[in-house]
Amino acid sequence: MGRPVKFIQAADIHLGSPLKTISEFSNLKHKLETANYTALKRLVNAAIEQQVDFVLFSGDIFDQEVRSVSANQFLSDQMGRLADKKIPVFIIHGNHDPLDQAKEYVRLPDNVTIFGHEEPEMAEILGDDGRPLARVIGQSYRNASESRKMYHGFVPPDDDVLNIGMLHTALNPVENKYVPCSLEELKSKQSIDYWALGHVHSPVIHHWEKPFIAFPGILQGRDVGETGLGGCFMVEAEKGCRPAISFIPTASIIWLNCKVSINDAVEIANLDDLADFLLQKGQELLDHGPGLRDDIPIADSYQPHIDGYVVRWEIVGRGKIHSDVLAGNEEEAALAVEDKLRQTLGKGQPFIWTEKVKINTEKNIPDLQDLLREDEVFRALNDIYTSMLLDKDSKEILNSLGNVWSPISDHEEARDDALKLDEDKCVELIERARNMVIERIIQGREQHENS
Amino acid sequence: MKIRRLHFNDFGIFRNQTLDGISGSLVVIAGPNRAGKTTFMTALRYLGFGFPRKTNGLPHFVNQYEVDADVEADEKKLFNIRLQGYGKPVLSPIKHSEHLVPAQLYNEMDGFTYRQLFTISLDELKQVPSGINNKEMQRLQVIMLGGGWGDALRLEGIRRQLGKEATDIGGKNGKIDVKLFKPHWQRLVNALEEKNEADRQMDDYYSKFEKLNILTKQTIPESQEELEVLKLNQYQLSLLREHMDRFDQMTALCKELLAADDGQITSCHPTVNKSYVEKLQVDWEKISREYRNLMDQFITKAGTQEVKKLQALLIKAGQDLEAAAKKISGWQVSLANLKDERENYLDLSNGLRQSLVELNTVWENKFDILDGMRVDDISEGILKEHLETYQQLLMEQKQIKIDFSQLESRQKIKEKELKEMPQSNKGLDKKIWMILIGSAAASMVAGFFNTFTAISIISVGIMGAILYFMQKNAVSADTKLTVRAITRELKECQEQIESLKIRSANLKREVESQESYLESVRADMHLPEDTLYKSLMDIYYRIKDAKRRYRQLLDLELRINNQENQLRLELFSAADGVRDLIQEEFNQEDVLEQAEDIFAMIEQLVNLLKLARQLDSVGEQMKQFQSEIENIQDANKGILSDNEGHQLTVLQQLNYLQVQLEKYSILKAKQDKYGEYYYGLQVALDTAQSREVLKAFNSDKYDDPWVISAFGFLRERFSSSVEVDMKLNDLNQMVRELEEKLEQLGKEQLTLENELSNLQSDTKLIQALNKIHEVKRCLEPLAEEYAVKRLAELMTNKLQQDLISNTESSLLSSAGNLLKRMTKGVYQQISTPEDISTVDFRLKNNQGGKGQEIEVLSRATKEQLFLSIRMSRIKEIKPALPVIFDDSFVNFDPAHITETITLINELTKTNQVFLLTCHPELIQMLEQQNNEIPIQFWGLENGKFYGPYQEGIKASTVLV
Repeated sequence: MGRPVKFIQAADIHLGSPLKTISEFSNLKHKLETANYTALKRLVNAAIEQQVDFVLFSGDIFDQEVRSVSANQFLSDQMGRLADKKIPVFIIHGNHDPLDQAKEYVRLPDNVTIFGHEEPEMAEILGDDGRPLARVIGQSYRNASESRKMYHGFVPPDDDVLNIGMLHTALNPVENKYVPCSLEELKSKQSIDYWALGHVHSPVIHHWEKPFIAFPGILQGRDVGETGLGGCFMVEAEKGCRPAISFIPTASIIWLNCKVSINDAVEIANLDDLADFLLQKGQELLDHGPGLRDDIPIADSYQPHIDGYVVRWEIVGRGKIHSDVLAGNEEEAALAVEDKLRQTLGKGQPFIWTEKVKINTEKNIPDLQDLLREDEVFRALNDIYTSMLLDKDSKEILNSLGNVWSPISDHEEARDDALKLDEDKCVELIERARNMVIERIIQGREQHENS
Repeated sequence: MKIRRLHFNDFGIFRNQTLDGISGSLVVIAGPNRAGKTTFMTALRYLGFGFPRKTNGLPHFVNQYEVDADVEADEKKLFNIRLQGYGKPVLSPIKHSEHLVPAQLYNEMDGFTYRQLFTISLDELKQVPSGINNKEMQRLQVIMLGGGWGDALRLEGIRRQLGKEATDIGGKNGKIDVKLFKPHWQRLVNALEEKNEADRQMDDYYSKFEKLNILTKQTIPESQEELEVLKLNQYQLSLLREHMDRFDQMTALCKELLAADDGQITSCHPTVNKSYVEKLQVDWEKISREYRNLMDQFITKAGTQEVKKLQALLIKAGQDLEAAAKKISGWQVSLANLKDERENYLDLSNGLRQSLVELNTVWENKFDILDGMRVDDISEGILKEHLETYQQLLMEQKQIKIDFSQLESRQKIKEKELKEMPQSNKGLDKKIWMILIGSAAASMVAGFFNTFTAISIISVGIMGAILYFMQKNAVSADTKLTVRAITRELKECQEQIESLKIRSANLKREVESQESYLESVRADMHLPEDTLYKSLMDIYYRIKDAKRRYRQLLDLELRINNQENQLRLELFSAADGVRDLIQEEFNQEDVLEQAEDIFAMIEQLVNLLKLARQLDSVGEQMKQFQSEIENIQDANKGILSDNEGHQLTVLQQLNYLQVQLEKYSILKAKQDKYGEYYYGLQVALDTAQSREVLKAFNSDKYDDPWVISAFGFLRERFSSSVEVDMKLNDLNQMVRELEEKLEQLGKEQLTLENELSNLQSDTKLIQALNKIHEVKRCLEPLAEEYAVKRLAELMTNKLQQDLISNTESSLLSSAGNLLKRMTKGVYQQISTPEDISTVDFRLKNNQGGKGQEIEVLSRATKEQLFLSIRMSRIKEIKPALPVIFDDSFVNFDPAHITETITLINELTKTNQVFLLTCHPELIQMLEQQNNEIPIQFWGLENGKFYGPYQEGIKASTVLV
């Protein structure tokens, strides 16, 4: 039995892919543009500081949608730093950087091992005495879509050392594009001690016992769909023992989707009030700091170092300001508030950069819940709303949404020439539609009663 | 639920009006127009829900709305509902503790639905929702309004409006390239094109990267390798061409040397060359001439033929002669100095003699007396100090004499004054004693007679003694003081005189001591006894100076003697040293006088010595010459014949040597030339590059270094230099072409590298992505608005269908029965369309057939249909709620009214019914009807209620 091994598990760097927001402030602009690079650099710093035995990248290091020479060169440089410290790196390619196109990416130093796509490949990490400390098995994507149940082939020669499997999967047995498999199927592979997964963009540990199964998430969120603190896992593992996992935050920018309700904010009468209200929320956000996960501890020496937040504010709820100011002027009002927030919060340290302000307030309908419960018409409407939610993937609903939307089942699918329509967005739109119908009916009734 | 009491404190036309004991079945409110019926109906409509702020149909108020009612719920439980202003209704239990909220009384029904269903007014049929065309409205209106589904009619308008709004945004299908989406689409297309361009740039980058790879790792290295080979060949031929002629010449020389010389002479190594021998010859002739000249001069100057003897003597004494000659100038200076010293001595002795005469005339020429004067032992300071002390002592002695004289005079004066002072009278004391004794005696005498007298006498005696004593003492005190002062002064004088005597004695001893010292000084300086002490100091200085000069004189005399002796010794020694050469002797005592002669003689001998030495030197050189020539001949025997040298003169020997050396040098030059060629070629070929090109011809065939032999092999491959030149030209041409090609490839590489440097920037890509993001960011709210409106349209449509479907399925059957009764069987059934969306309702009459379309029915029939559907709907709602009919039967014929009243009567079994009317005929018909349940009548006029009445006629009075 060898000593415990120490390694870093990371995935989904999407190097070269910029943050989907820009700032007119030059210092912010630079930070936003280089955040992804900063994250990888922090990872490499941690690997060197912690003198890890090796580093794992479980797919999507690159993003073939954003092919960048400078990003490739940066990766090569960073891998070179690890090479200088004699730290091996193991890489599999994912759906965003399938191996059939990998030839053009970059030439990496000799410490980097890239697993092929034909079949699972294996590498051993040797101790000072020349005996294996751990074994890494991985297989890359051949194309952007990979329907093979790869995990079947992950068969280590023996169970004497720590066996680590690297897989880029959505962990979805019915989704055929991203290595279909279920959590139970991975659990059933008892010859594997540790599943280092990639593809899911937020850190999640699915199984603590053998085999350990976890996604480290993305190093740095790039859009409002990738909220929270990005980073990687620092792992200390030994055969037969539960691994010690800590989270190393690498993200310098945190994306947040702040939904702010004006339901109880009766004092908001104009746009200045609304902006002040959001500024107050922004300050609360800064006071609260980045929300950390409870289930995965942050490594002691690597507390988050946040340069700033990129926030999408969504103003919802019902209030007087909707009818008085916002209704019909949502876009103009959003721009005005957005500008004030950027000017005020965008210059602090850490900064809050307002990516967008969305105004989705609604007409003030008294006792909406009562109406939905008591009024037969609204009850019927609510039944329709509920059935539409259940049937939101139906052609009828998708057609109603319009061709401008591109429905996606995975977080990474989207047409370039359309807007990304995920489940949450669909639910939001259906709910807003229901509320709009309610408003119109009430409006009709009022006109009827007043006539 | 039934309303049992109503109170209007402030509501529209009503002020403090109460309706108490309201019937739970049919309540008829009779009132003319503008009496307050509509206000009453409005109060009932909002009683359980509160008055809305924004509704136009509400009546006015004075302070605030104030209405309350007692209502009877299930199980006969009473509650009070109170409305104030726009507040929510407040429900309070009456005489029980059960708490409910108003909604529970109304079956959780919302206010709108209640108002919609339970307030029946035929005016409703006149209201057409906007957005519905007339035909459709007519088809739906009666049915849906009858069912209380007014929303269903409005939904059509809402649906159409939503559809229109959505279409305005994104057209029919929400395509990104239409309507309001279009400008965003255009920006997105541009941004996507920019991204594609960036992608193509990336493709271009990798294409060029691969091209550069091939260029730098294949094409250029291969061409460079080919060029290397060509250049090697080129260099090989260049090397051959460069050294070919020399190689050929070297080969020729080698052959020539082998033929001309057997190798004996060229194998020698002469120690001299011809020019050196020629120089020797010239030098020999020159030195021979010089020897002869010197010999002639020597004989002339020496005046003798015994050259060798004289030469030997001169050389022997050479060093002494030269030393003496060098000293001549020094001796001449010494002689002059000696003369000066002698003159100084004379001056110094004269001065000293004069000084001695001045001190003491008897001391003239007695310089030696100075030796006895011990002035050096006498300290100048001490002498000076003694003299000063001596003078002071003399002066003090003089002063003491004066003081002594004065003190003696004063003493005599004081003694005389003392003698003259009066003596003291010691007998006076006896007088006191006599007085006392006398007094005592008299007292004793008197005591015998009289004690008192005795005491008085004795007292007087004592008193007298005392007085006497006091007076006597007062007279002698002054005298005593004066005596005492004189005595003291006298004593002081005596003490001072004594003191002066002591001092005088001491001074005398001190003077004597000083004089003793001064006397010894005078003796030390051999001065006469009459010499005054006070001149001692001056004499001391002069003697001291004389002694100094005397010592100088003695020193000078000694020096002159020493110099004379030294000079004399040296001159004599010099003259004595050359005695053998000049055959003359000198007297030592006279040498100083003969000094100039000696000097001249020495200089002449020195000149002769020089010649002797030159002769000796030249002779020695001639011997060395001969020796060197012999050595040369010995060393170069290889080029000389054995028997020739020894029989020849020196000059002949030298000539012969020259001839042989000439022959040697000619042959040697050829050999050297060969060597030069050989080693030159070897050096030229012994470079890395040359070795590289010649290694292909390496062989052990010859003993030569391999590069030379390899070169020879290379040379053998070509018959002539012309052939080499031709081949070389071809190679040069090939090299030039290849170099041009490589230069071109280098430029291509540079261009590719520059292009790659430009292409590797991801600025364009980032910009394009940012634009895409920005476009989508702007597009998203619009797309959401489109989607929401389309979804709302879809929901509206579904809702409308649901409502129609519900009406059809749940109401129309029972409503058909009601209508049949209301129309006395004229209309049998309400038929529904197979496709609910067509809303094609029809009434089937007793004639059968397809039935009549609703829009063609008479107004009364439509109203009956409406009423039957509504009543059917109301009956379904449990628990029953109060129903309000607002003159709903205006257009009915009497038969239909009667039938309708029957139906209302049936309804009153479950529901409380309020019937508002301004028609007395209707009241009359109601009374005439065989009512199972009694009707309650109220009159209403100008906001005041009258009643309740059992008879309708009483209420009708307000209608007259």
